Amino acid sequence: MSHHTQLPTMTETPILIIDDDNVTRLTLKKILHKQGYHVEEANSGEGGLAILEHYIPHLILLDVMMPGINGFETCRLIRNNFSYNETPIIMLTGLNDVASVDDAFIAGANDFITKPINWPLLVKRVLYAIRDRDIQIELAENEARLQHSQRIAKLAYWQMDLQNQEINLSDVFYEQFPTKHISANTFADYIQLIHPDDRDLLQNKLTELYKTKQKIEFDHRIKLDYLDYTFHLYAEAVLDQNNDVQALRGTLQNITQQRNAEALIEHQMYHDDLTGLPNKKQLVNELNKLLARKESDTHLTATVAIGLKRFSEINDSLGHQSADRLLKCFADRLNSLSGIEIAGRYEAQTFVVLINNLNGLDLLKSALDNMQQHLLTPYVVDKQEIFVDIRMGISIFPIEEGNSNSLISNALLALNNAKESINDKTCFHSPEMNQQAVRIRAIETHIRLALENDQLHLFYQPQIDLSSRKLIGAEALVRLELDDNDWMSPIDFIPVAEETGLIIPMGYWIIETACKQIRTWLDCGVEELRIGINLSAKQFSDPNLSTTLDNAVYKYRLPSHCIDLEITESVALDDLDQTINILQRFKQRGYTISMDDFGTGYSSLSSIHLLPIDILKIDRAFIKDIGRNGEHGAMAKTIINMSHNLNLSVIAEGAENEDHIEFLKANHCNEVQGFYYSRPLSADQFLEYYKQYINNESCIIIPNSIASAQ
Amino acid sequence: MAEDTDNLIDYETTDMLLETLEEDFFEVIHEFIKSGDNISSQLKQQVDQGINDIDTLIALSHTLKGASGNVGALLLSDICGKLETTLHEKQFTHISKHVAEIEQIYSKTKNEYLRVFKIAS
Repeated sequence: MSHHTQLPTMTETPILIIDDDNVTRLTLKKILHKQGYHVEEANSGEGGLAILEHYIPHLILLDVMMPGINGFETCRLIRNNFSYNETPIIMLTGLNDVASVDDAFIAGANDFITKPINWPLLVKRVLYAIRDRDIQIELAENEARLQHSQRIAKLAYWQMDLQNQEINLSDVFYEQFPTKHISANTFADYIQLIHPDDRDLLQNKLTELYKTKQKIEFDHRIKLDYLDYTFHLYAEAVLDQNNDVQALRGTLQNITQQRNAEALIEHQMYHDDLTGLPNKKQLVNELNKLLARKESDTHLTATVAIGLKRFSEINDSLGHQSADRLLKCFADRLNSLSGIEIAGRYEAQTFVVLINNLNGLDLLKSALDNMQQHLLTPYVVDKQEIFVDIRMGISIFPIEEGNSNSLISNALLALNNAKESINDKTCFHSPEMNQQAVRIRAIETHIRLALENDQLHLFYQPQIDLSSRKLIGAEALVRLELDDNDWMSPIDFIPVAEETGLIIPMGYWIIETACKQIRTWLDCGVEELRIGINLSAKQFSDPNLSTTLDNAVYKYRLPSHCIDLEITESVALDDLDQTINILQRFKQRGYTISMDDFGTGYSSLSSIHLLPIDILKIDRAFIKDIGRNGEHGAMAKTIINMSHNLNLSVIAEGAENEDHIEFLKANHCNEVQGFYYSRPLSADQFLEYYKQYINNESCIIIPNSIASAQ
Repeated sequence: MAEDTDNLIDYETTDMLLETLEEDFFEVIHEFIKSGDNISSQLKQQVDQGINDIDTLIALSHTLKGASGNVGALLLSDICGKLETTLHEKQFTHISKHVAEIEQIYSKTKNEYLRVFKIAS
């Protein structure tokens, strides 16, 4: 039983034998072959070198004494002429030939075996040599990989001897610089390479390391040919047996690119890509800094928001790229203004300028005038002369208290005012404006929550045929429920919904809810009534309106004449051709069209007859004073007559009392809607109202107490 | 006779070779005898021609020294080595005697190999 551990079989590992003695060569070949090696053989040095031209052995067994070139010379030639120097060469020498052993070493051999050969030992020596070779190669590969990685990571190694201050820097360090003419052999040399501002830092840090023996790391710069390179230095102490610091060593990593990238990212974070100006964030930061410095200062700081008017038109006519170039020119001009602290791009076509140290409002006025004059001078973009118009909104510190955010948003509020104003191109912020903005934001929140939480409700105000006193239909009116059964007035929330665009989702909610309700009533046996749905300007121009409406009518299987679409004069006459187009499509589907609030807008009487409408609704303003103060309702009468001439039916809104009803009847108004018959009713109340109407065979006047909400 | 053949072959070496090479051992011994026959006749030829090519004599004695040593013919290897040393030291007086001795020992060694390992000559 063998106690030996099984050694690996060297499958096909290539070996070259160079020996002129046939017997020895044959023996070696046979033995190694039995061990699994692949053996090539040569009987002379010349023959061996020829084989090496095409064969890379992992080991060479080389006889010393041979005719022709001897073993030493062969060994030297192999070492000098072939690149794979990791191949071990074992020389076969005489037992008593010490001189040969030395010569073999000098010639580049790795080991020797004496003759007569101890065969079992030879097998082991060969195994060891090949393993050494493999380890050498792996080591060399690892070393190469490490060097490669260090090159990629720009990571150099350094060591400094404290005795003589000599410093040893690996090649990677020098490779970081384009110039080949630098070298640092001593610490003094290295210090010369360091940026003057960082020299003390380096000295102090290394002194700290020497004293504390605790590893340190920090960044410092090298200044070369007017360029700065940032290096991250890691350093540790090398201690001797007495625990004294003998040397310092560590790594130096070139992190210039990372630092530059970080700086770029930092810059991009705080600057606008297009114009290069500070962005919103940076404007707030700068204003914060300004305000922090101003504690004891009585001078004024103005935050000026500047908006380009009609920029979207410029965008449309010039194209996106030219419009961008215009913005860039505008920004450049803004940035070159004298007397300003900072100019930035707040968003899209809105810029903000900070003017500091103003010694009174007069100075501000002249600064603004100067600014305006400068910015309004025509621009030349892509060989075209472009005129721009601007609006300005201003908030002033410390006249207004507040932080940077509020100063900027107040300036923006004022800018908004300036944009809407017909007369004032420049507006200063006032506390009222602020309150108004806060109120609008609160309402906006209410609307959003109401949409999410089902707090919108539809109420229905009956419409009655005056001559027959029949219930013809109702106008659906949206109401917003606040908490605790409290209601927000439509006068408050409709304009905000219009402004914020929430009118669109709200409008669709109304269409869906009204249609669903009509279906419910029809299912309860209510006859086909005409329900008025108000369409806002935004909704009217929404391309999805028609589809949404059709879908809801189809979904609830409604006769389309049950739907009465109410539009106002301003909606209708905004783009007459377009309106006629849309209304005709609605008409084709069988919907009824009413013109709401007639008489209050800018109706062009000549256009009314062009519109495919069915009903005119006289605004309550023309009804409410009839009978009071001797008012005879001349306007109402005119509208009724005109409507009839145009073959339109007329509904009078706001009919509240007997006088109104008598007047309207006498003047042949077709229908009425108002408190005289009923306030707006909830869906359930409306059903009750309908039942009573059926029982009485005509509409009754219901007490106000039933209708709880307006 | 027994005493004469005792130290011709180092059986430790041949045992090792046998164990390692198995049947290939016989091929090696064949090669040794082929090589030995050749060198021994060349050596004789050199002496017959009047010993004027010392380098060839050195090379021949060196090769036979190595070959015999490696197959366990240690006595032969030893006397080949002695001839090689003598030639290196340029002592040419007893060369004929040396060569004759090599021939004799080689012949005995060869016969011993043939006999012990039952090799047909």
